Amino acid sequence: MELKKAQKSFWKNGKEIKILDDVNISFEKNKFYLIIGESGAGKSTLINILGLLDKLDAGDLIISSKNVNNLNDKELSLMRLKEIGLIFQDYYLNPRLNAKDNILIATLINKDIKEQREELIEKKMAYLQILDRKNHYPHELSGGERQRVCIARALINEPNYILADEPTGALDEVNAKKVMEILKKLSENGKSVIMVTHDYRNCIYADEIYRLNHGKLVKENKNDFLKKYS
Amino acid sequence: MIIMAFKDLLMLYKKNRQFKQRQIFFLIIMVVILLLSSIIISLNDSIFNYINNLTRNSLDARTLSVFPAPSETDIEKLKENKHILSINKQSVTSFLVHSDKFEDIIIRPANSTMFNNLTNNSLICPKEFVPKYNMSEITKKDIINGKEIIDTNIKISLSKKANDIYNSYEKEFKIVDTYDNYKYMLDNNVCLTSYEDFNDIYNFYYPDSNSETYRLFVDDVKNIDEVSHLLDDFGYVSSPLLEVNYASIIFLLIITIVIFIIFTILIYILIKFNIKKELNKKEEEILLYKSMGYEKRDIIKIYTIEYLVLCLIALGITYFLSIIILIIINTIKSNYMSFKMFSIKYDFKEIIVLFVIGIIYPSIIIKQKIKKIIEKRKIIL
Repeated sequence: MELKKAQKSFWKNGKEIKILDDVNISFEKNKFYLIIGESGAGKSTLINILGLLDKLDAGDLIISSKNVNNLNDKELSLMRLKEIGLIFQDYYLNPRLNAKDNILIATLINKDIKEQREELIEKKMAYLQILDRKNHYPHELSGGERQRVCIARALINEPNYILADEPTGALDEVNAKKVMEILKKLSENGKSVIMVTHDYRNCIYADEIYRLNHGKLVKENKNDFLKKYS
Repeated sequence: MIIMAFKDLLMLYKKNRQFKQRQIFFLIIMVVILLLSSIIISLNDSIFNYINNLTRNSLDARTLSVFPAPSETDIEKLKENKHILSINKQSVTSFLVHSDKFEDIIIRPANSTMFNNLTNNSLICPKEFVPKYNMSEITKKDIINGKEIIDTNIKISLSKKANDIYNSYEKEFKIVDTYDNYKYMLDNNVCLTSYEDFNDIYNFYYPDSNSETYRLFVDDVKNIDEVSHLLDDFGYVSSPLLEVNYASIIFLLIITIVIFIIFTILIYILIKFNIKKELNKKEEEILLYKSMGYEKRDIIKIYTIEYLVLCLIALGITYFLSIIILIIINTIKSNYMSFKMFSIKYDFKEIIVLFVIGIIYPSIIIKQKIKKIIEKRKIIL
């Protein structure tokens, strides 16, 4: 996944606010990327762009050698399904569906795993230690369990890129640690994990740290950063 | 290409379905809207059917009054026209007479081509015969089955002055057949007789009359103009007994169409407002489907099926309630003979219109709204 000369800005009260200003970055597999920035820096917009939910004003986004600017709606949907898994701070679980069915909805459009759906869901739930909660509804789950259901939903179609928007923002320290360990493990097992956060404590899990500030994405020295904030 | 299987769509609907306050509110709104539409369409249809029957089938609408009296030669020439069924001397339309076996009867002349049993001294009475003068107060109980009185001989009498038994007209008639008076838009007390017998009564009542009015009976109301022009060519003035004001009918039709269009637009707005409000609340859920890789049409299907089930339930309830209302109205109506000619029916057209309002409208609205949500560039997740 690669951003080339990416530009994105908003207009607020007649003033242009630059979210991405000529950003160039490449995200590789087997790596955990942490993007930090203050509230309002545009971290969520960046995740939306990388997750193909928003578009760049200018520049290119290349995913698996395909420039997304050249893709039509159907191809974009297919790319979202096959390449991207999104994890949100607020989980966005369907309150009318139990944990298992919340994961199931992500598989209904994936013909490749149609026959193994049930098996794969149970495997993922077991891996994330929530199998015993499969028949529970979101309101019956703890914050950590809800986030793990959200992770299972993001992983079920085996995407190459995991995009996480403040995944620990609503969790206590113990659950936050569990989630970060899961994400770290995913990056070690071939996924590219890109996480945006304003919580510097998470930097110990990252392979690369970037700071988003006034539209510029600047790479931080991990060691210096760890010394300063851990 | 990603296509969601219909089986999965149904499964998702089953797992996802809700039947809470909001859904019940939507259902009630839909039933009220559909029921109101159904009533408006039924009433509209009934009024137009009534007008249509009146103009097409009424004997008066097919009868031309001709002035001055046509000569014998002209009468013979006119009779050659295929649309002219009869030409007879007749100044009044009907007489109210009293009968020995029944109460009051209205006698009016009819054409023997239409009623071939009609010979001299014979009467054809309604199948649902009500021999009473005042028809506004009659009920079902007053009906005499016309078939039961066939071959009955009745003596009719007519007096010029009240209770004048010495100077009254009396004649015996035989009821030879029955006819469907509703078809000809005639009251249940109207018996038909031949022109000869009718003129006999007329000559008794107006012995000194020098009226030379002739009545010309046309085969179909649509040929009235053609026959009128023919009479013009012969130098006679003619006018139909029942003049149809087509301008008023067209005006009424336009008004009805305008009201119906306004009504359907209001319905559209109401359904749109309701669905929009609901889908706005589900915006995050819709965008979540998008983030998982669902195509626009799959997301539309998911929400359309949710509403379609509610709409189908609403349609079912409406059809059921409409039939119940129809049965109640018709039961009440059947007790009052004066409403007999005003038929309220439930037809295929109505089912189609309700289907459009109940199914097509919501589907279009859902499609538009979901497209709008999905195509939003700024997504706050």
